[in-house]
Amino acid sequence: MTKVYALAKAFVRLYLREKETLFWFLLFPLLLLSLLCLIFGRMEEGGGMGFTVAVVNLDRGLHGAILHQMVKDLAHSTELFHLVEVEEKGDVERMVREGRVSAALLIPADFSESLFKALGMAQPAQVKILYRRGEAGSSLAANILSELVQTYNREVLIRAGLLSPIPPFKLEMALIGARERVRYVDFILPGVVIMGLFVAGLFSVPSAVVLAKEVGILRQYLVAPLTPAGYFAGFTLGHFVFCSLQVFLIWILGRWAFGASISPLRPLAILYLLLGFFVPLSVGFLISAWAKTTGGAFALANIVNLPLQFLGGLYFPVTGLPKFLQGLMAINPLTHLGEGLRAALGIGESAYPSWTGPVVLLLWILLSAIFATKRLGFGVER
Amino acid sequence: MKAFKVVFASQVRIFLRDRIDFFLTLGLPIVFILLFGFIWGGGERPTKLGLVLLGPEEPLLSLLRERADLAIVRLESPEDLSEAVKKRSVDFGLIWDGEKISFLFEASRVQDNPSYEQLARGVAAALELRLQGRESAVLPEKVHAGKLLQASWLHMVIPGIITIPILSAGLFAVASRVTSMRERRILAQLLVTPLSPAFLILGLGLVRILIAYLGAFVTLFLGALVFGVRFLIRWDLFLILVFASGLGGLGFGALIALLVRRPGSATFLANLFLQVMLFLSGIYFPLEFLPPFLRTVSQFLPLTHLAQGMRFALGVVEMGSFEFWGITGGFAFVGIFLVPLLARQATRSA
Repeated sequence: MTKVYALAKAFVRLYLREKETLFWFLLFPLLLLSLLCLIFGRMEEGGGMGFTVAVVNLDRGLHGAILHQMVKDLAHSTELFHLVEVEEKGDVERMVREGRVSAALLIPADFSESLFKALGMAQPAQVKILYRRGEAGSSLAANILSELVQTYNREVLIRAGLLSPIPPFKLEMALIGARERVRYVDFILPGVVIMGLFVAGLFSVPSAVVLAKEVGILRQYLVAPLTPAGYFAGFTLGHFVFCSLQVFLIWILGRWAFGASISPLRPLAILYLLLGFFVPLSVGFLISAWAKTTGGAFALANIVNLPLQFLGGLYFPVTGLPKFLQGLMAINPLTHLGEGLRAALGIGESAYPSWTGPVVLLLWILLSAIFATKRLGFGVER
Repeated sequence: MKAFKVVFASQVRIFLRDRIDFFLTLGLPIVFILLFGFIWGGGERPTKLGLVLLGPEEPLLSLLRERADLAIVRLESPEDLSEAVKKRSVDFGLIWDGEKISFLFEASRVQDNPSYEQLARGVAAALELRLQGRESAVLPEKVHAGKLLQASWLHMVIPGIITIPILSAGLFAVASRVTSMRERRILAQLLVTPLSPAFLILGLGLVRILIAYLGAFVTLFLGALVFGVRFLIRWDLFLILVFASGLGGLGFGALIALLVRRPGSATFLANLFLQVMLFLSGIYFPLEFLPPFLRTVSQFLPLTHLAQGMRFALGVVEMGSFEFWGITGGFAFVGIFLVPLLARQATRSA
């Protein structure tokens, strides 16, 4: 047992000394969590976007002035966007095309006149919202302007006595699948934890096993009074200690810097964290067994790393995929780790029946272990 | 010239043998484009609305059918709808009983829900008008004013993806390879041969620039083949920008090699530099989404300007020619200025 502890200690020391390991296993998850929370977390808190929106009012009538004022009021009261006043239609079109503003509202010269006619049941008056299709920021700014025009439309109809101010139905909006509104940090934190554990398992095993075998370190270990089982137990223990530190740091950052409210101290969450430790470790062994060289193992790990992360929905819920990718998602261990951990923490429900998660994950561990045991020779004769 | 040819041929062989390098420079953009295309390329697909009608079907049903941004999925009961929303087989749900309109959203879809809520408010507003026999008095007409007529989300993302291997090809090659050669004393051995340091760096750099071109072409080809994304490419600007930015990548790699001695530290710094840039350069997320201080930081990152320059060369955005040539010249200058500095330092240390 002392040998196992000593080996575990050596592995932890090795992890802490290697700058690349520290970057990918410790610093990167913290950096990723911070950046995602800084970007998306502030959006849910109504933090001002970096939009610049332009308005051109070519109408000299009352209605154009009111709509123009509504845009100004929205810009000042909510800090949703920074407003730029433009005089000419050509200027504003150029500004949108060149990306100097995210979107623009163009109130045409005959707006008041058209609106007056529209209230008398003629064709509706039109305003133009200029934007750049395909750009998320520009589309979002255009949607804000579109909603503002809808609000204005309702106000005008009510004031003209054409629409009852009391809607003819009750409007209700409800969130389901969680006890309360989920904050972004609570959604992303389990995803980053699983990503950290996955990357650690996927890349550390090839470096410990294949590289050690390749450069003859394993041979040196095995001529010492240490069994192969002892070697792997020491490695697993050291990896577990390092992963615990990783999870602890991610959780501390999420809680103290970004106000995460979820606690991992729930039996089911702990179970998924343990599976989140063992599954990537087994995938790491599977890759090490498959690859002949360290380079090959790392290349293989790199190939599966990002697709599994993105298809696992760790950062965004993944929907509307083609059938073949849906099948891949269903057998992707990260899908079940992410969904299982989130469900255990009370953030949404898994899209799969509750039994599938543990079954798929245990199958990954079992099949990887069988394959790795068969293929992964130690390359040494004791 | 013979020495240069030998260095060039050896660098090609090293690249082809190094599977990680091969994957990171050529495989990663392919993975990115396929993933982004399949997962988020359908961002302009209609939103799936689960519908349960417990009250009169009209005018709600015809109103919903008129909307191209919604795909209606009829369900039998509120329980079925609730299950469909939770399992994400529909994006959000609507129950209408003639007196109340209820919208259901899945709580964990924190990024999607604001836009679904906006759609829901639009549906409720339109229903309010229809039920009172009114039409809109004002119609907002959205007009695409961007440069490229058929612009989509992928048109914005692909130029960004193209820039990743261009920059990383030179960055990692010079930063980690030169520091590794220096640590293993290979550099010193090479430099006592009649091989000029300039040829050594040039041979290494040229391979990287050719890889940058290859990566860019593969990404463009795949985007067109799999997702039908076509650009109005200005080939002259595109080819010059790839060359200049490849040179710039070598320059940034040289900067790192000048700052640190160990290959591990060089790879660490190069990774940090690249990862920070990937998040803050408007490649994954629009710059407007960043907090003000990060938006300021992004303006100092080379990848922000390179991605925008690439969008211009591919005909996606407008840009002044002064700005484009400023970006191109800036990258070329970084390479031309810093790579010889590294060569001089290598000669001195040898």
